[in-house]
This record gives sequence, structure tokens and C-alpha cells, in this order.
Amino acid sequence: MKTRKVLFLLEFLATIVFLFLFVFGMEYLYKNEITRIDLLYSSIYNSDNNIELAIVGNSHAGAMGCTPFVQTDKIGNYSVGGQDLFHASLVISEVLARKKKLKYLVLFVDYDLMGYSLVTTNQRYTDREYYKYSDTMQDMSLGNRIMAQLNFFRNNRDLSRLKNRFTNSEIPSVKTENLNFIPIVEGRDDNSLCEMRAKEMTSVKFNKKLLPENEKILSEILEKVAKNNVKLIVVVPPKRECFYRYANKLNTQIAKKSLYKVVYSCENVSFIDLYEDMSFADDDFIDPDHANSKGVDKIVINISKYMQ
Amino acid sequence: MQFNSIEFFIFLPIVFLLYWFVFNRNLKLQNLFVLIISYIFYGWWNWKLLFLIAFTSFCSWYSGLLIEKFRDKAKLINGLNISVNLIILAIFKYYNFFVQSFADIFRYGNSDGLLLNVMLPVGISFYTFQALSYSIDVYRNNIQPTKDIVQFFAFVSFFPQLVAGPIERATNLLPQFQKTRNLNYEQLTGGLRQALWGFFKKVVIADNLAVYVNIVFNDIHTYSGFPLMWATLFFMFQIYADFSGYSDIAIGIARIFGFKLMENFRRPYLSRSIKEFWNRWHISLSSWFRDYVYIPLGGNRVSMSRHFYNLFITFLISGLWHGANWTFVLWGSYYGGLLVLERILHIKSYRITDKYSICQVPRLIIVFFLVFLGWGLFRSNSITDAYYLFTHLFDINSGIIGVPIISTKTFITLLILVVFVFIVDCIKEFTVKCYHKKILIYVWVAFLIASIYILGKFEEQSFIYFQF
Repeated sequence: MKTRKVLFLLEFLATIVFLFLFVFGMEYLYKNEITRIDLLYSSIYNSDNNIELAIVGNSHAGAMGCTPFVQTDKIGNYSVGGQDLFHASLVISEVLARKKKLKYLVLFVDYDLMGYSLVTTNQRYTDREYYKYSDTMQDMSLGNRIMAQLNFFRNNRDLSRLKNRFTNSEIPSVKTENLNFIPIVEGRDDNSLCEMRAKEMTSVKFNKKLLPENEKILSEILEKVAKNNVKLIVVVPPKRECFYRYANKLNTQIAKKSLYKVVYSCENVSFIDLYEDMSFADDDFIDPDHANSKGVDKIVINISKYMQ
Repeated sequence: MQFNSIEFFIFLPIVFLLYWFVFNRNLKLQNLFVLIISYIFYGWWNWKLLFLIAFTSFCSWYSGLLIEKFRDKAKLINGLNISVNLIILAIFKYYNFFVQSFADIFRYGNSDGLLLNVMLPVGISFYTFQALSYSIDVYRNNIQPTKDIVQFFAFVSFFPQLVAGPIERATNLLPQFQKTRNLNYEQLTGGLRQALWGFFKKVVIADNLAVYVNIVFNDIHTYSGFPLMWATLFFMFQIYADFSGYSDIAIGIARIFGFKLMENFRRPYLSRSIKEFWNRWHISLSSWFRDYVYIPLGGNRVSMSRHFYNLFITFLISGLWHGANWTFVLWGSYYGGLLVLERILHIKSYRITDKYSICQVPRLIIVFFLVFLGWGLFRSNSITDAYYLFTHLFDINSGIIGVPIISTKTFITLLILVVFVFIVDCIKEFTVKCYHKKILIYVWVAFLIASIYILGKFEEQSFIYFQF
């Protein structure tokens, strides 16, 4: 009996030690890994305080045909792919707090963003990435807060990063300069890519139960920006014709109504809806829903009309 | 409280230490402690639901005493207790479903005013059936009624198996509350290992497969062919890993508290007939229906047509037990029909202990395929979706993966997980038990821990069977 007891205690202790060694080993290996959100916040912290125009949104704003975090002396692009309204709100708070000379804030909001959240689309790891900078997350459960402290979990437990490090290859997602836009899925024909993206954005990731919550977040953003005497320009980015064809019409309509309701309830907001803008043709895009440099020029012209 | 939650990981060691090192001197005190922690565990969801489980437990406990005291009126008392329990179950689980269905059939129009605004209590079907089995067994003289209310309440609410089984019989579990339990270190390591394996199946296998399955089944009309096939196959393994994972955790945790629960799964996808499948899948429920529905109806000791009727009706009810949806009714009927067909065609039914031979491979494949179709029906959100699934399942013009946000790498990982579960089952079924060697056990435990840490989903996704 005594021997069994000792053996059990030894086995139990060994298991706990193994678990701790494993966890700390992973933390050690991932301690220097940089995520996209680390880069985003470092660009907010390090960019010039003379910034007068800030761009916030997801890949449709960040990409604008090229890589995010491209800065000029007076323009700061603080967009990151896949960002939802909750996290955009966190970024805006940080930008407003740090950029005292800010005059304009351009917020890119797709219709489908009104029914989208990182947490409900299996991207909690991204939610965790923000926690370090914002002290808040969408999922504030104890388990998620613990995971948000661990580098391994902040990096989506992506073992390929480790492999890349050991083979000395760089990770495309964290490059910051001279990067051309990477299509979401490579090797797909045009039509199936359109279908896939449209389904992804308007069906798979869209959840109409999130509409009230996102309306509230967007209202808070509008209020927050107005309080800081910054002019807000909300832009619905354009899409290719094939995107509309495969998009879920019902969800798109519900989301559009929801977005319009919030934006038109606020007087000091300029609103540019380019979703079905006929001036955009297929050659203005690099893929079904991301503008190339020609498309970006057109978007910029539209935005500049609303700036003094 | 969920097994896959942080709260439970704090709760378990505390109650374990208190159970074995503080409340171990007195059996009554230890049972009372089990009852309290079980109620805390269950009340974590919603403390108001404790009144319901307490009422259900009281009805069955008191019926047991009355049956013993008034043997001449035993049938009436037992019938009353069954009725009360089934009415409670019906109100919480089926009332809205039937009202809505009748309104749809008779085109009543808006039935919202007739619907009840009640939530489905977690695990109500499980503990109701467990409590019912007690009063029926007392009525049948299979067990002596217990006068100890704490003991009985602890039996009904025993936390490891409270919300998703195994549905224990009073004849097996209740006597274990009447005997002194000693801390057995072999049982302890075995229990922890089984719970770890169950946890792995839940957070690594089931929850990862759920991502693909949910994408497809929640928007089924936009897919056809391969994505539907993969989603159905993945669901087949998701539900197996999810539910058998829960059972393994329940059995493992019960073992560390000195209790032995019944086996609930025994490699069901290695069945050679539908009957054998039901002897391997959710064993505690199948045997419950056999003993308390099928046999009282007359079982197979009646005319052939009546026998077929008994089989069919048992599975129809079993389908409805799973949930208030016509897809479950159809799913139960599907299995009832298949079992009747097996009898009509005199298809040999194998026992679990029968050895396998190479010529049984076609049978394995056919049964696997029939079960695959059954899970498609089970997972469909409505009859319309099920119809769509079966009319588009074999349309192979679509792409192989064909589902947004699932990359090829993720898809291959999911396939590997499915194959892994299947291989582990094959190893357990066909090989000598070399895996009892110490060194292999250590490697296995290390592998499970590392896999859970790297691949596990920790978003506290509910176990599928919680809704039943």
C-alpha cells in the first residue's frame, strides 16, 4: 500500500513537472515572437505625434493595395486584417489618446462587419493579442485571461513559426516593409475565389445575433471620436461584381440597414458607401474584395472630397 | 460547471482532498459531502434548477418507500411517480416542440402565445431516467428501497455523471453509497488517466472537428458533395469523441472518488450489425430502453409483428429522448427500421465478444456507412436540411475541401484526428494489451498532455449531450 502511494505521488509529481516544463519551454521558445497586433500597437506608439489623419479598419483599409502600417508624416494607417468593431474601438481609443493633433479619422466598415466578431469566428487568439495593450478583451473569462498572458497562445500556438525560426525563414505576416499584398487564398481560380470570399464574409462569419452589440460599439466609437473633436469619415469599401453575386443577399441587407441606422443617427459623421459603386471595375481589385493601387486611388479621391 | 472549464480544475482537487482526507471517517458525512458538491456543481449553471432535481429525487425516493410499504398499491404508486417525472420532462423538453408542431400542422398561425418561456434544464433526461429506474427496480423487487434520503439524493445527483451519463442503475450505483470507500492508488492513477484521455477526446478531437461541422451544417444549402460528406464524417467522429470523452471523464473522476460506473462506449464504429452497434453505443441508454421499455412491451417473446412493433417503437422513443426535433424522431425511426430489417433478412447479429474475421470486413463497411447516414440525419437542423443533405451528399462536382476559412493544412489535421481515433479503437479491439507496460503509459500521458496544450480548444464548448 505504502509503495503504491509513493509510486502514485512520484508519478503525479512527474506529470506536473512535465506539464510545467512543457509550458515554460514553449514560453521560452515563443518569448521573442512578434504578432501582428504587437506591430500595430508599436506603430501607434512609435509613429509621429504630428499625425493628422488616422486610418482604422480591417484588411480592406489596411491593405489598400499594399501592406498595413505604412506611414507618412501626417498619415497613420492603424489597420489590421480581420479586425472587428470591438477591437477597432480599442485601437481608436489608443490613437485618440496618443495623437493629439489628429483632425480626421477614417474608419473602414464593411456591412458584414456588423455581424462579425473575432471571438465567434474561432479567432480568440487575436482577441488575446490585444489584451497586453488594452487590458480588456471580448472574452474576459478566467481561462482566456490566463491564455492571454502566454506568448504561445498569443501566437495562435502556431508551430510553423518555430519551424521557420529554426530554418531561418521569415514569416510573411510580420514583415513590415516592401511587401506586396498577399491574396487570401492562392492557387484558386477567380470565380471560386469570389464565391469563397463572399460566402466567408456574408455567411460563414456573419452572425445576425451580433448586430445589436456591434451597433452599440459603433455608436460608442462615433461618440468617442466626436468628443475628441476629430472629424470621422466612415467608409464602406468597394467589392467586385462577382462578390455581390455570391454574397448572401439577406445578411447583406440586414447588415446594411444596421450600419445605416447607427451612422445616420449621428450628425457629425461623413459617410461614404462604395459597396456597389459603379465607378469601380474588376481591374481596380487585386482579389474579390481588396482594392489594388488603382482602386485605392479612387477610394482616396472619394475620401478627400470630405476633407477640408 | 463544465469539465472543460477552469472552475472545474480548481473545484476538483479541492473536493478530492476534502473527500478523502476530511470527510473520510464517516460514511454518512462523506455521502452528504458528495451531495453538497454535486449540487454546487449543478447549481453553477443555474441554482434555481436545483429545486427541480431535488423534487425529482424526492418523488422517486418517496415512491420507493411507499411501494415497499403498500405492496398492494405498488403499481399505482410506481405509475404515479413515472407520470410525474415524465410530465416534468415533457413540460421542460417537449411542450414547446409539440405546440409548435401542432400549430404548424393545423395552420394555427402564430403560436407564440401558447409557448412557455422555460429553459431546458441541463441533463434533465439523464437524471430523470436514473431516478425512474430506481422506483421501477423497487417495484420489481430488484432492489431494497433506501431510507437514507441523503444517500439517494447523492445517487441521483452524483456530479461526474449527472449531466450526461452514463445513466446509472440503482442496482449498481446505490449500493456503492452504502459501503465504505477506500482510497485505492491504482484506481486513482487509472481514473486520472481515463479522465485525461476523455479530456483529450473532447478538447482536441471533438472541438476541432466541430469547427468544420458547424460551418457546413449551419449553412447547409450552400454546400454539396464533398463538403457534406466530410462534414457528416467529421460529425460522426465529433459526437463519438465528445460523448465518449464525457463518459471517460465521468468514469475516471468517479473512480478517483472510489466509485465504479458502467461502461458507456465500446468501439461502436467496429460493429458488424446495427444491433451490435447499439450494444456498443451509449450502452447505458440502450440497456435502459431495453429493460424499461422494450422488455415491458413484450420484447421478442411475442408474435413476429408485435416484436417488430416493439423494436420500432423503442427506437422511436429513444430518438425523441435525444431532443425535441423531428430529425431525432426520424433518426430513431431509421434505426428502428434498420433493426426490423435485420430481423426480417435474418442477418446474423454478433455479440461484442465474438471474434472478428477478415470476411466480416464488408459488414463493417456497410454498418459504418449506415451509421454515417444516420449521423447526417441526426446533425441536420431540420427535416428540410436533412432532405437537402441526402439529395446533395453524393454530388461530387464540388471541390474536395470547399469550405471557407478551412485551409488545406487544417483539413488534413482534422483527417488525421479522425484516423487517430479510429486507429486507437482498432488497437484496443484487436491487439494484445501491450499498452499496459509502464513506459508506454508514461509516453502516452506525455503525448496527451502535449497534444492538449498544442491542439486543444479551451473555449468551454458544451458537450453535445448536455442538450439532451
